[in-house]
Amino acid sequence: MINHLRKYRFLAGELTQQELAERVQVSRQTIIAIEKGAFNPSVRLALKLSRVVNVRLEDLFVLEKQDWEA
Amino acid sequence: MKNIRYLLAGAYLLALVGTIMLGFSRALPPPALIAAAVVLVAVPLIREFVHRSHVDERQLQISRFSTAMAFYAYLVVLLIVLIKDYLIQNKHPGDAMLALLVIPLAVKLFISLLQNHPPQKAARSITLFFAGVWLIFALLSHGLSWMTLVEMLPFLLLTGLALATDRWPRLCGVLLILLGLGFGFVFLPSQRSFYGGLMLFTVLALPMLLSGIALLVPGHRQEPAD
Repeated sequence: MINHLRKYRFLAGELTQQELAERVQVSRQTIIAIEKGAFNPSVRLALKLSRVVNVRLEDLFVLEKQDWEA
Repeated sequence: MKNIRYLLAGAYLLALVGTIMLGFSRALPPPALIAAAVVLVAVPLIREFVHRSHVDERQLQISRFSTAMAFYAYLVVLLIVLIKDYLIQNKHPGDAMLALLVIPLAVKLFISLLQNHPPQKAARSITLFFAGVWLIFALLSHGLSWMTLVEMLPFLLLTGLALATDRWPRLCGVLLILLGLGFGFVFLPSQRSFYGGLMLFTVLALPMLLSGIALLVPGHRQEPAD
């Protein structure tokens, strides 16, 4: 799964990782891990992120071909 | 707030190490040592059941992953001890060693079953498992004889209960709790060692009690049809 969190974070008023983390009530390390693709957020957190950066969920997180393979 | 949490975590670790050291040096009277041990073990367990608002989901995932890895490290160490002390030196593992091996595995199995499946299905699986264990135990103890037929009665009772959990979940829940209590109070005092009794309680009585309680929890969902 690829995500465009970093891009949309900048488009949403150049939010810092710390500001975004505070808005969705997680640690900055969690935002870093999500942006690096090291951690996949839960649906709840993904929805919160998409709302804060004001973009549709499926534009923020995109499934890759291998995600469909078991 | 963050600093206070770090401070509390540090204090907890200090108390844990201190209690272990005082325990080994016999500086604490047994009642105080037991009370301290119970509190120290209970604190992280409570955290698992209470919502931790300061911990986000990634931190929780890391915490659980590290706990799972610690569990496997424990099993590896235990297997090394079993192989070195008992297989190579040809000694018979004592009840304490068997309890250390069996109890964590049994707890992991029961929690996985109860969390992965609806109560009826979990209770049915656990009950059928023990019915099977009992049947093997009866066959190995007496072979094909009349005594085996007598000892097969609990097997038949457990199998009947397992099959009835869908139809009468609450009745089966009560019966499973009674059976669990029966195993606990009738069989355990007859055990020759404390650790043997503890192991039998965990593998015989506890799963039935857990299954019974799971079936009686109010508002449990019906198992969806396939």
